[in-house]
Amino acid sequence: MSTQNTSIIKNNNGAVLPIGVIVILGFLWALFAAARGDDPTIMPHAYMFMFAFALASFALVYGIMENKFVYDPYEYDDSVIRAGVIATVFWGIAGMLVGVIIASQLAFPNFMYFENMPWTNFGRLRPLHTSGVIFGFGGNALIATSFYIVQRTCRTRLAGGLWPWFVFWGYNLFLVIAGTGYLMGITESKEYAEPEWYADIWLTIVWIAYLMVFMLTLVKRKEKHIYVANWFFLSFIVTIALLHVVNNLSLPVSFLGAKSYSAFSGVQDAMTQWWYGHNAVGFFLTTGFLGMMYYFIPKRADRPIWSYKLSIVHFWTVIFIYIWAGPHHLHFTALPQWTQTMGMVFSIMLWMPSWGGMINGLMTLSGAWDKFRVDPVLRLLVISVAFYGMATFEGPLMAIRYVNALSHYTDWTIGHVHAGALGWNGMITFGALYCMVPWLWKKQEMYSLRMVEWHFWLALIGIVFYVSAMWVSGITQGLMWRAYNDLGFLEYSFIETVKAMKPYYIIRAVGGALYLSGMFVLTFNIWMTIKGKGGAKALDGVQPVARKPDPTAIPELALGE
Amino acid sequence: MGYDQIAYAVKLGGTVFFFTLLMIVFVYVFWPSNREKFRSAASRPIEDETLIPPSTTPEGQEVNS
Repeated sequence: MSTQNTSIIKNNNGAVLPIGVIVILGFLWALFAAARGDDPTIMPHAYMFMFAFALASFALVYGIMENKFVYDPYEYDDSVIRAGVIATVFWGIAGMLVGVIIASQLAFPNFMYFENMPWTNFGRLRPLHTSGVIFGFGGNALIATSFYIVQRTCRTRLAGGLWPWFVFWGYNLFLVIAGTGYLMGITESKEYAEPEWYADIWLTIVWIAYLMVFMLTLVKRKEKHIYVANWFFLSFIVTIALLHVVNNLSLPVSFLGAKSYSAFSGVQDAMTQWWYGHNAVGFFLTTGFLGMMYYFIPKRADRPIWSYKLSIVHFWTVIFIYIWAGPHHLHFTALPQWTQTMGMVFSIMLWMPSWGGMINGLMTLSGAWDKFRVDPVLRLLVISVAFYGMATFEGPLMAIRYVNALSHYTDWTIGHVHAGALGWNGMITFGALYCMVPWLWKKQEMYSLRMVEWHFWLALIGIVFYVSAMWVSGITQGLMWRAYNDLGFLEYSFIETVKAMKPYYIIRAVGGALYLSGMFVLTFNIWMTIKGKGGAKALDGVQPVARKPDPTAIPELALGE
Repeated sequence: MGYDQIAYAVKLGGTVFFFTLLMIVFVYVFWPSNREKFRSAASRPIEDETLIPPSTTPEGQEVNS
């Protein structure tokens, strides 16, 4: 069907004018900020915005003049997804590398820290790590996979012409502004919402464009039923828009300066922040990635979803319960007791939909478990769901007030989020990348499945080192902090608890380094696949092997099992 | 209306609201005429996913394939 009418070519020039207006207005603001900026920190960002917007204007004019914005309506819009894959890999390496550096700084405080270079301080590097992996790696993966999945499951081309490209470049510009801001010391000091007001406004514009592209693609779908993965992606996009706008309501000191102050204060500010913070976990790191799960696991296993009914119950219960769980971050604070209890109860209720979803993902392999043994890509996808189950069991447990009394402010929390981030988000993203790369670049398979196997084990062993070290150090910390002697004094000084952490911090850094090394293996494998080496032979009319894993195609893997 | 009354109404209303919502989801999921729709949707990722061109109706495509 898609090859019959390739002579019909359309163009995307219609989107040039509105994008051009946004770009020019942005340039003008940046020009004023650069010329009359009220503080020195806004200057570099003003110049970066000016440079980006000038480049965008040039690209728009060049594209119109050279007739570059043409497309074939009989083909899927995959070019922006290919760019998304590369951006995902880039931010993955950057974010995880910074993670290993700051993990080493905790074990060896002078590692990569220079007194006359304030940007090497842990406090500035840490948000660079969290934003780099969550929003850089995770966000680019979500945008790319959502664009991939919505087209295939709706059997229609992405809506909006140039707008998906606006989303891609706009989002990555936001990431650069956010990341460089942290290094310069620009921060709203809200965890996972650190970027200042102008970066927030820019992200809002980009996110509305993302929502419109996704919604309008759904509107022009050719399949009557909207597939469940799209529901998960839609909830992710809509809720993140809401969370981002409300939590970042703030008043700039000057419209040409970097600093702003939150519209909320005191306990309301804390509650808004953790309503945002926990739902960033719930809707960015959970529902979005569940959209990936509900597409790539059935696809790779070549099996239908175990229970579509369960997937619908999973969706509605997850989104309606998650949104209330935030107060569990504020146990034993000035927040009213009943609000804390509500957060705790809703967290515990999340056990059921989370495990329902996990069971649905795992049981999709019914009748195809042999593929788990021979296909390392499927194994990455499935093990991620196991980690989803593990992290969503541990989370509600830690939300219980008296467990939280021990776990809060300790490394247990760090271990928990990394079981989720490395195990669930990371592994499912790797699986999705290994699926998509051959399909997007029209290759039969990845360059090397053996390297995927290596990546799997490096990542898994890395997680085990990381998470078990943090469990032990977290519980040790919690117990040492609350230990009293016979006279009613604290048993340990704070520095003694820090000293006790040293071995665990070293183990954690080793675990992170192993995980990062797996990321390098992935990068090399993707690079060679794009170049068409090894198993990545060009497709000549045959279906990609990746679609239906063939055990005989990879005999060397089956041998050792 | 004081804080305590508001808190009470929110707690009671919330419980009724969420329970009703859950029941609606269950009714929708187990409604007999939806069975076939969900059965075919479960296979969506592993079925034909070639693009249906803008001029073709979904019905026409189903007949052809």
